[in-house]
Amino acid sequence: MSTHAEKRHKYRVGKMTLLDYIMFIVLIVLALIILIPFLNVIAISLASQKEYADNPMMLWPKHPTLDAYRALFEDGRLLTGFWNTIKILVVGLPLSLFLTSTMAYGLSRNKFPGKKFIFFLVLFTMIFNGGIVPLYLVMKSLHLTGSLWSVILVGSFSAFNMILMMNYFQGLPESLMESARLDGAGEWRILFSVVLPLAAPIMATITLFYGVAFWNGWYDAMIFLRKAEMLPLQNVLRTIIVESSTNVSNAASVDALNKSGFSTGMKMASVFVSMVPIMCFFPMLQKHFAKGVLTGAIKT
Amino acid sequence: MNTKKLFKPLLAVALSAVMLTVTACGKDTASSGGNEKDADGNYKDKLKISVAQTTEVKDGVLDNEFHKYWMDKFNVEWDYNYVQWDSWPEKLRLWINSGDLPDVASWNYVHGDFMNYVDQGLLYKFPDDWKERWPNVAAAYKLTGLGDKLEELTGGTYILPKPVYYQNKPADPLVNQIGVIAIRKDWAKAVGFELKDAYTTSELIHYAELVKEKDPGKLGSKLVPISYTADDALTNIIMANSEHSRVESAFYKGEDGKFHWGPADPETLTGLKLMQKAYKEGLLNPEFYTWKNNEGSDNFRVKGVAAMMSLGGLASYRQDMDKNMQKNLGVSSDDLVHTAIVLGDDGKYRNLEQPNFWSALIFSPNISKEKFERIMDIIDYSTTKEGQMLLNMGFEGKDWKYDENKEPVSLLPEGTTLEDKYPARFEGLYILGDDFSIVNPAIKKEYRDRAVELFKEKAKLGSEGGKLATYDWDVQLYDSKAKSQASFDYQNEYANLILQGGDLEANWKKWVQSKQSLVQPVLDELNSKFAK
Repeated sequence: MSTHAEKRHKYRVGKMTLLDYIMFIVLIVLALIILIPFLNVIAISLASQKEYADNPMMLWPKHPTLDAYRALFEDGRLLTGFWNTIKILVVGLPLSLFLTSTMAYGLSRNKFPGKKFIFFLVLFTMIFNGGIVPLYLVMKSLHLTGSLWSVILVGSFSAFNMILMMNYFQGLPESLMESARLDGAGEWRILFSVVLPLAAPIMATITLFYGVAFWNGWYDAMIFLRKAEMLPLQNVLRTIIVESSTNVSNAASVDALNKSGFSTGMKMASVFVSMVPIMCFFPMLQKHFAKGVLTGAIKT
Repeated sequence: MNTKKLFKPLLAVALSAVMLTVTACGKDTASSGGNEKDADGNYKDKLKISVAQTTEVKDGVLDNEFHKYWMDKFNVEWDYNYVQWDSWPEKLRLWINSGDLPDVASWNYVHGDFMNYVDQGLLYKFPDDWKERWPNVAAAYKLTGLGDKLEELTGGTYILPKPVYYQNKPADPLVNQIGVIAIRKDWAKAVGFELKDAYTTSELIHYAELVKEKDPGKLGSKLVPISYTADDALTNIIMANSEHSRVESAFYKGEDGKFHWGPADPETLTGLKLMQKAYKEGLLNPEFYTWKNNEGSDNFRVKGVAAMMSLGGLASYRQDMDKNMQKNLGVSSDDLVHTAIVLGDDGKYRNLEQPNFWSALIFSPNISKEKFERIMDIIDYSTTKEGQMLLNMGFEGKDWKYDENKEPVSLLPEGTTLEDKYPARFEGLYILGDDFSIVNPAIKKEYRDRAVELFKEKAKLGSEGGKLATYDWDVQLYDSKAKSQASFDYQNEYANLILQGGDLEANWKKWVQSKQSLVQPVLDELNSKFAK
């Protein structure tokens, strides 16, 4: 046995080397750094105000209570918020994928007329933003303010996602498209029957990107929507949190007083409630996710 | 041409167009009509009025009896627009600038923006005779002070500043509600500390020292003698000794007719020295300057480990404290809490004179004459005693009645509030709820009486030898880049100063010097415009 091998053997404990143990410990510490705050959020959402005041860094409350969740769900607005978000997601996600994939496909083809100019226009919007007032004026002139469509349309196209997808499409062999063309397929047929079936990783990734953006979106809804019953989940949660911590000096002081509760508990409960659906959704796309980001990010 | 090839893209375009048009082309059902009344005095024509407020009106809420009463009485149909608290300024700014303002909206008044909006014609100008036509609104408007000042600047009425107090103003002059503290009266008795209505800062520090020494609650290291956040310390230690130490009154006109910067006054140094003493003696928590929101008061009302906290002067605060102590400590706060105001170490009372307005009502520049008049009729009624009782107590005989002492008493079942029965009563467009809170039986009478007592005491001490920072309209309505740049986070600046090592006075002088590049331009501007 060589000296090198002997040295390696000396640091081996069972099947693992010393380096494995060090890495194991480092990874556990890193995992705890992520998990502890998460656990703390859940613990606070289940704690009473007094318990939280006594020990804000708790990992689990001594006397768990569902009061914060009860207060959140007793408020019918939460379900309305979920429903509105689902509506935005159900319409917005396919629309986003359609708009993004069609443009990405067009711009990924070498012979597409005006490709460079159109790509420049797209890129320009990433660097220079028109601002919220022009956007509002556009929506107003389309008579879309106060409608869920304003939120859907504003979030339905991302230049960044389009570039990711375009790069992925550019990596697909041109010969595939050419042979499809020889078989009489048009560009739409090529996109839907040849390109998209081969683009599962990037489609999964972009689906996740758009899905998370629609789920977590609040700004567009805040700007464009006017009715309480139209607000999506994130805006509803924000309203509930703001109300629960309203300073009782405000106008309707007695009413505000009756609404005030353990605001931190409600805040943490709302964080958890809004996180759960995304947490359920993520593992289904995870296997495609890392691959999709990498392949889309590297121009081949 | 290959029609199959064309079919899919055309379908996609057509679908998109249909989606847009179907949703976009909402019918504009806004009605037009006059304000003629029939023989019974009812409005003949129904008007659809869009209103934007921060009260959340959920789906179906407008069907309840309360809202129907208002809609029937004034023959209106509401198009209610909800503005969330946290997006209020941004949303209104967008609506105003894009010409999309609802007929009437509640706006968090910003003077610089107001002047720009008036210049650009973005706000409705009231008719010249509006004060004669709606006298109740005009009376409440007069009390705000701001309305008249703005008329001098713009030559007309463009907004209705909302009065905080109207019929139930607790004291004159009106002093800011801040500067009321709560102390544990059981501990005060245990350590032999006298209960009074007003204490000097040093007396309160002495009380905290006694509690720390004798520990009447047997709390050991958990005891927090003075549970103040940095902002509380600014209010109850520094402002109590220097009325111009806060952002609201930092720039003021002195007796010499020139403008000064309050944080550079020697009185501010006196306050800082007392604050540092409290910190060094361990009376303030070692990390008090990191506390946010309720962390200071929670030690008192949730954990029961503090001897003193900053409460504020509203009766609703006192009721909230009672609710918290009952819920978390299982005790009645009436047995444990004493409220008082804080004096400077020279025995003088200091606070801020409070303007009697908060936010404002604005009207769309495109509103029709009929709609404007109908809204003003609604506001005028809402400011009458009958309107106020309806808004705050519900229907007489059904939701409330007068008792034998002619005091209103609620007829709602125990534990039910008017908000439960009639949610989102946004029709009280004009006068703020603070006014009615002075007489509202939903707040315990003892708390209301004590709040008014302390308001009166503040007004008396403030005007009889005290030092109230007057609300200087010139400074408040002056807007410039230099002024916005010279706005500091004073509570944190002061906390930093008392935490620094070395001599406090030397550090304070150095700090004052370091701010001069931003402060002096403001002083120069104010002196050139308003100094004698």
